[in-house]
Amino acid sequence: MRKLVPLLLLLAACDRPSTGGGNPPAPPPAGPTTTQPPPQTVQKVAWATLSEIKYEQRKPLPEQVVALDGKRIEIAGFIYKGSGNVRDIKEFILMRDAGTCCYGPQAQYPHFIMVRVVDGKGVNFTRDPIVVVGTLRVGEKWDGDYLDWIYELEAVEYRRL
Amino acid sequence: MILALALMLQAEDLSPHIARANDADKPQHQMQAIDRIRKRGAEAVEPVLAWVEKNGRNKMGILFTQFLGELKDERINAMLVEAVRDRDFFWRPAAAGALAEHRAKKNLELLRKLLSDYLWGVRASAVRGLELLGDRESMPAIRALLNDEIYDVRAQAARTMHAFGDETGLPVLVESLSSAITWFEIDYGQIAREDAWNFLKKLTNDDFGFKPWEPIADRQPGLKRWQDWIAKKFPKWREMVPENARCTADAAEYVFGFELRSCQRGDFFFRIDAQNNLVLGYFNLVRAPLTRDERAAFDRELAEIMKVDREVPYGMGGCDFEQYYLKVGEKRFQKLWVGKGGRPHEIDPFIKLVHGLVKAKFGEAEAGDFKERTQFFRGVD
Repeated sequence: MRKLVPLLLLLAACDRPSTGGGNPPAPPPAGPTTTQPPPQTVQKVAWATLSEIKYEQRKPLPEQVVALDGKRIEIAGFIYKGSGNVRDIKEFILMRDAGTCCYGPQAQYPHFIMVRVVDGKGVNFTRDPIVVVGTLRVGEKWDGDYLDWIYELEAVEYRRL
Repeated sequence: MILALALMLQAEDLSPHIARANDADKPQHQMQAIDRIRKRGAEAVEPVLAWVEKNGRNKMGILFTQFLGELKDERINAMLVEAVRDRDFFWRPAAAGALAEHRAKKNLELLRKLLSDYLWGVRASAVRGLELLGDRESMPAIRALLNDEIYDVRAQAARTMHAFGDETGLPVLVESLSSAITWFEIDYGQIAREDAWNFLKKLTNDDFGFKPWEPIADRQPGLKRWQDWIAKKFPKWREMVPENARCTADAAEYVFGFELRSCQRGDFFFRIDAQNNLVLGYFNLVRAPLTRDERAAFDRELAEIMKVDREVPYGMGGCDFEQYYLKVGEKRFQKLWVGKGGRPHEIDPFIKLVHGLVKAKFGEAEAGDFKERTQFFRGVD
């Protein structure tokens, strides 16, 4: 409480109208008056950062990936799409490698990201690599006793590489 | 307590796990589910058979089909035989691979017959199956596959021959280290280089400084060392490499490409090069010149494809697709992707025209393959 007193006094002094001559008060600064968070910087992330980790289920993830949780990132990869529709896809798996198909190996968890398009139109399937921008969530997500993913991206933007 | 837990595990219904193991939309669950089924061993056989009976074999995924190779049970074996014989089964190569793993003598004749199957994955699995059965009588037929048109079959033949103590297939693998086949911007040769290199380095405990993924100039010193190594075994090793296994440089420039991949029906590739040749294949290429009229007809139908919206894909998702490589600038191509049952009707006349060209230039059999495989992608209203 003692620390608050000088601060309150300072605020009171600022609010007091000018009593003497001299220069008129300066106009308020231009620009918006409402407070907005600064635009998030987009961090380009390489697959090496996400996939070259020692991963064990139900154990803490390494700091190098935990540090990316909640960050706006940009990453390139390949769409894995099973059966079903190929247009306006709102959920898909983004793979590190293109080879994961019929004859490809089963991807390891650090090698893919579950992407959900949260803003705008969904993605059209392509075999070419795409770039996705969005907020990365890091952490194990379980569906009952089945592990779903360790990386999820809330995508707001995507484009062909 | 342990007994109670064991009883609980026994009582657990496996069918939800079998469903997960085959869920195409949750591929990340498939291996976890298979691990759970695997732990139940022979107990899993009944529920697996019941699930397939109820859902149909085409609901099985590729990983699950492969896994059936571990369930060495007569009824599973019979189910795999049926799957391999079913031309409409999605994963015949995987079923043949699983059958190979069963090492059952009664599959011998079937596996021998599969050496000439129309799907290269089935041929390769049949070779492996005969190796696992120790069927040396099939050696002449396996040796003949060193000249298969597909690298994977040639390589499996060479590996199996080696397992039988015959090193005369190794020159085919060393030759594959020179593979430099590209399909537009994709270096497909790297697949062959890596595969051959992985096998050869296990034999020698040395990679000779060769890195299959490096640029061609950087690969040369290591390649020379591999060639020196095989020359010590077989001084005339180059003569031992059959025609289809020989790496030939392809310097052609292409102006159009058609890529069809289907695990169920087989692949088909063709291109038109800048010298106006119709070129079939992608590892082993065969060329036939087009007449002026043929090319003009081709271009007319191609113009119809160019009118189709290429920003969107067509048909169903999955591993089976047609992809058209359409030239839109100097060395720049746009791709049109078509999944099963999705080909826009405007493209059908093009397919019909190409069928006629393939028949005229390469014969009835090639044209038949083209027709059957492209049929799969015809648009459904």
